[in-house]
Amino acid sequence: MGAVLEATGYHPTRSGRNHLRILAAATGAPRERVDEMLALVRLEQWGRRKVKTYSLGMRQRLSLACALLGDPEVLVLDEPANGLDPEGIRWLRDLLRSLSAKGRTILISSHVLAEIAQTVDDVAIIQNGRLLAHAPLAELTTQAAGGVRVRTPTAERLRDLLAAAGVGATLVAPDRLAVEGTPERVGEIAAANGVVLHELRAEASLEEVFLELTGAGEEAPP
Amino acid sequence: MTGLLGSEWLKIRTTRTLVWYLLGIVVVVGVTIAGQVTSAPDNVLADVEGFVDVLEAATWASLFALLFGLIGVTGEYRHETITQTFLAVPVRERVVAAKLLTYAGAGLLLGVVALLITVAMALPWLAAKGVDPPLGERSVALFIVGLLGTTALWGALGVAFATVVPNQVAAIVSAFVWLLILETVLAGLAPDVARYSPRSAAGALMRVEGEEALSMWEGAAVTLFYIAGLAVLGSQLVIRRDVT
Repeated sequence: MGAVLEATGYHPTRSGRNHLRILAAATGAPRERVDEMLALVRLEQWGRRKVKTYSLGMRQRLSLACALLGDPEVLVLDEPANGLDPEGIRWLRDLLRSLSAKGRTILISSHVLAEIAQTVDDVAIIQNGRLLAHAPLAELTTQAAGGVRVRTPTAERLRDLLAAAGVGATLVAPDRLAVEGTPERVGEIAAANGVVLHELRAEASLEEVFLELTGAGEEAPP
Repeated sequence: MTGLLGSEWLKIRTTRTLVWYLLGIVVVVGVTIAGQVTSAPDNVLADVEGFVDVLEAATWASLFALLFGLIGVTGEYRHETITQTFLAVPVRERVVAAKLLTYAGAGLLLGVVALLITVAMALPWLAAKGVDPPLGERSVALFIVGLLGTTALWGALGVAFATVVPNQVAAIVSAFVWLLILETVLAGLAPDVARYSPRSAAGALMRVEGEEALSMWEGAAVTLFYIAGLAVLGSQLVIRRDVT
């Protein structure tokens, strides 16, 4: 099992490569893995430099190299995208995907839900130590939507129009509605009454699912 | 265990700390010898005791070894590398054991370097003064064995003490308060007990203490007892605790 918990725990004047060598010696990982892992996290150029010269994203990648050194079956990552630039985030996603394709199990804990939604297969939502939901991502987002998601500047008006047409709708945010109907029906009613729609989709985002499940929907997120 | 020892030795090699300690030894030992050779009259230098007095400059290495061992443990806590160390080796006693052995080796290295500097500086100096040093004497050989034994044991002693006090500042301050103040007080109040104190035991091992001191073997045994006692105490009570 490998873990990336925090991008700390490095001696400032020791090089990244030497950190990996020390870890390899202690765990009995083959010596060649050190340079392989440096290459994998794209730190070859920086391997011999002191860790104190690294950016947060580079430390994060070094932590990932440490975690992967022993070629673990299970990988635990806590906020792995922390400090990575957009390109780095995409790189990380591809790397995790390729590990997953090789049969590895990867657990990611994160509060950056939009990022997570692009990466994961299954989601577990935990609040105050209680498991609120555990399901494949697609299942969770379609099921939680319970119909259609609408974003419009005149949400209250659209709700009343829908109600008049016999379509149930609830206001989930000042500009958002959850509608019990089909996207086609909502679109037609909106068009007939000249309501501007900014968004119309049949599934909820992971963020919406999370906020609904944790009961924080109506309040401003902390 | 071989891998663990290799890992610990790599930790030492991959920072500059050891280099600074070696430089520190060169400076401190150099200054001490300079003082010894210039202040002692030639006839004292020629006899065995006078010569051992000059070589005693190298005993500084034991203090450096102690500090080095302290930092070997507390440094990992300070930089939080201890988290990864314990993740890699979940049986923490094995880490402590590897560190005890590694820092005994490092202490020995510091002792050898101190001795080489001492001899390299003292011999030409004495030769220039026309003094013939009694190199072949048994007590000179015993002093050298005792010195190297002490620096090795004190490297491990530093590790053992730091397992009880893993905070770097607290460990260094309390070690020095003990060695410089409390031991002196103890020697004044209860000389019979003070014979068994860590500093007196080391003094006995290096044969630099007075008549009432322990024998070399007793000094070594008492020091080993302290190392084992502190390491067991620290491993059972402190090292088990959660890190970061």
